[in-house]
Amino acid sequence: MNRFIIHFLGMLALGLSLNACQNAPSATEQATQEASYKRLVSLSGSVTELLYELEQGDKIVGVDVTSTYPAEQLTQLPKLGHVRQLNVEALLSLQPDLVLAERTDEASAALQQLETAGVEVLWLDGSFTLDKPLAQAEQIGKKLGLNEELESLRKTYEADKAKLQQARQTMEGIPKVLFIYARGKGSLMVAGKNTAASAMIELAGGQNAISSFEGFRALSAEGLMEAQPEVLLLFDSGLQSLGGVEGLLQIPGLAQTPAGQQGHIIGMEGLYLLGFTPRAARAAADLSGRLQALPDAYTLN
Amino acid sequence: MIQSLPKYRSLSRLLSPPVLTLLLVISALCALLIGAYSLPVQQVGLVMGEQLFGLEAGLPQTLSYLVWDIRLPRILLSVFVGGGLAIAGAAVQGLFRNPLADPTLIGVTSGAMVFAVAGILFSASVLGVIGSWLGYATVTVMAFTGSLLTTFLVYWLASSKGYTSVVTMLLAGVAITALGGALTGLMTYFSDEDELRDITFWTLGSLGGANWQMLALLVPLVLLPAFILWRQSSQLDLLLLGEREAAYTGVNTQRTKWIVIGCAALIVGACVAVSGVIAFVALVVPHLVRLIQGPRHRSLLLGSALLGGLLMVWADTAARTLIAPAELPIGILTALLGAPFFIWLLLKTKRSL
Repeated sequence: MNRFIIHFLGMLALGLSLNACQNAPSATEQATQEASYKRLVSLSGSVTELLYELEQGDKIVGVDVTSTYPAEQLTQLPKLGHVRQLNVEALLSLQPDLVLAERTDEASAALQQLETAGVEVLWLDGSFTLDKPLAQAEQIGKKLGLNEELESLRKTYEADKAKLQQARQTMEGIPKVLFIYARGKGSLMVAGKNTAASAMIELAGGQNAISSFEGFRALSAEGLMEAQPEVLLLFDSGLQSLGGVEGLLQIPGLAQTPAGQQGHIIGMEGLYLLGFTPRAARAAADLSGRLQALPDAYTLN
Repeated sequence: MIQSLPKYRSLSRLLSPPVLTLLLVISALCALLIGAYSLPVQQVGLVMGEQLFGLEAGLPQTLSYLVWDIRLPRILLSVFVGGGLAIAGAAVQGLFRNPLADPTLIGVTSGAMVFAVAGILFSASVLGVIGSWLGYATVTVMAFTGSLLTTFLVYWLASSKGYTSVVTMLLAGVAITALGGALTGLMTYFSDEDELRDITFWTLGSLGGANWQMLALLVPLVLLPAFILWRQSSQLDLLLLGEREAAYTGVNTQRTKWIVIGCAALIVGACVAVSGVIAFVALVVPHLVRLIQGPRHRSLLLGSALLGGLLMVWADTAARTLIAPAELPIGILTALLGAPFFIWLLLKTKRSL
């Protein structure tokens, strides 16, 4: 018993001390801080992407768990977990001079603590529109004093938007698209009005198959029959969690919808499709193209 | 009940209340020095000097905030949550004369869970006015209310004609816990992505949100009932003989039941409200103390409170540093350590019987 306890405590202490050694330069360096921002922490996947687009990637010292793009650059960075379960002390140990977070997370107690600790937080306003990435880029650009980078991002983005317009011109009809958010067979939600999914579907030239409610709701077989979707849209990861297209079609009611019968199923990467990142216009054009490339024509409406 | 085994008598002297108190203080001081942000001892000392004795050390604001407003409240919170859960567990085990009893069994945790999840889901809509007024505290207040309501429900279900059956209470607790699980499941099913995250994190427990206001609320809600529980020690000892036997010796058993359940519900409700669900502390710590110090409640309750606080300080230190810069939910950690330990304890006592 004695030995057990001593052993256990010893292991714990060893683990802790090893861990403590790995982290962070000494605190005294913090004292000499310059006005310009050199150490950024991003707590949102789309913001991280924006920072890379604005060529500020090398200033990022930490990101949250939703930051997955660009994957290669991000592997080296400390991952701070989810924005709703932040380790404030660890975040401080990265000695950020600016933390970028979405306005929707403003209520987080951890982020409030961060502000009280004297770390500047830039709250980025979000919306489900094509303007969001640019608006956020402008907020960031203003803060960090980026002009050329902002201009070049704007150019690329406008070009993307033009391509989206082009893509939509060849669109025939307005397909009814149903976005299914899947976390395995037991948990299927469909997107109603006022969701990122609904906005993206409309940007791509489709219409949301559901207009009777706002936000996400659990999917039901009868609701599916009523919505009569012509296309099913999912995250790649969601489709995978169901066991691919075959698994998806085994869900009661799905195979009976027009989309199910014709096999109109589209899977796209989550952050790309619904993150409203700087790739949003490209993603919408991409979705539009994939809607048009589906094998059978939709019933025109 | 597990008796104190002769083998552990020397350990019993080693882990006497004064020694445990000393260990607790040392642990808390160590924990103050350990963290994802590596700080030299002198700096921590300076911050403490600045705050306690008004020294002018001229430290950066971030530094003193880190030590005084993030680390220290969190450590103190872990002491009170760990100690509170353990002493409530010890008292409830004594009342039920069942070493497997755990405050979870009388519905406290499940009630807190249902209300907390409802708080997460509806704080913006249904609870509107109250929700915006309470702000971050919505979930905490909801959880606390829920735990008390369910406990009273269970107690009421088990009482008739002025007598409360301990066995019925246990069964009612199981039923209410099942019902709570179902309601929580239902709400989880209808939650969106963000809400689901919040719910999951809450059920895994965390001391991450610790601040001084939270402590100011928690400390009286733990200390006062804990003191009352401790004063029930001799009644709890007599109850170990059996309820009727205790009554023959002059114990007002009905009153003792009421006090123990009420105090345990207050303590656990308050702890769960500030930290979410932290598993196994209330179950395992009293066992450990009983093994070392024997079943007398006077030392058992005190020892449990001290050891519970001690273990929680280290568990939380591990939670905030092991996978830094991210954070490990502490409930996972206590269950990971607690469950195997409990199994080991079972095997050990099985052999000695």
